[in-house]
Amino acid sequence: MNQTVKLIVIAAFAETALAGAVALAWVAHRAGGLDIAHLHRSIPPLLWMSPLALGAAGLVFWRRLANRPELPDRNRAYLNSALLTGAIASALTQNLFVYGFVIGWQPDQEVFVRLAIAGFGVWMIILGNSLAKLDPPIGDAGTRTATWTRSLLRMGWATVIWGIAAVAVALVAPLEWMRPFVMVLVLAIVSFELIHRRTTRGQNA
Amino acid sequence: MNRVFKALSDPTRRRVLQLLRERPMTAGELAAHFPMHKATMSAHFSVLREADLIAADKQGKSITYRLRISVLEDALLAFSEMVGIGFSLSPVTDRPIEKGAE
Repeated sequence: MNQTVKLIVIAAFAETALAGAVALAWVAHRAGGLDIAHLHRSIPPLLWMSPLALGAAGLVFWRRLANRPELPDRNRAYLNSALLTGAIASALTQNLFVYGFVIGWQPDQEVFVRLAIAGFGVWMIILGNSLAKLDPPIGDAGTRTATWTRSLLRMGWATVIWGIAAVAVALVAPLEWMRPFVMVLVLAIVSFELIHRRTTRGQNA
Repeated sequence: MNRVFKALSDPTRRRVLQLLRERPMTAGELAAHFPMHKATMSAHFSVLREADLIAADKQGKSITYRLRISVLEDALLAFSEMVGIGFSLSPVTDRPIEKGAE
């Protein structure tokens, strides 16, 4: 991940988190306070989905795309573009929802959420598919090539299967499933990344 | 994608990918698994490289090959392996290899 991509993903994460928080404050102000007991139900999913997805994707790709900036790599450039496109699309969707909400536009939230999750699933499929094409890092921080390829291929398979599941859930499952499904998805990605770090630690080439 | 299908249609090349799944190997190590001339194996490697299914790292005189495969390509590899698609093609002439010719 080069400095520009890193900066844009951080900016998109910060902007969507801020926009979500401001929208939440606006909702609370209009309703005369937040219903803390039912907080999880009163926050529209589109407010938190975008920063959560960007944060998780950023965490995973930070390391995966970090170590060979000196070498031109078609696959790395492809993944960078896919990451950037997804980050911008995710931020735009959330912003459209937030600003629409502020000016009184009331879109069908179910359709919006389903489209967002389906889009997230497609994004995961695209990113996961090419993950194992990345060249391993070199130098002191380098991991053994065999471990690197095996681990990324496994991670790619998991990501693609999750992406397909996300699209399927978005198309056919009841809306109540969405929140736990997205939470489990993001937690699984973060756990997988942490397990990968533990597995490859101490296996420098 | 055409190059990927072409590369995966040959059992020898599929076997090379299966071997590289275990660990990166030099051209010599890979060639030792097949009863073929080194030139033929080299042509197979070049087809796989053109399809971007493997990457080559040159260190001195030896070339080490490693797997560079996407999830879709991995699925295609497993599928073609499962149904036994294809027969050995000569990487040079692109025609089926007759028994005993290699």
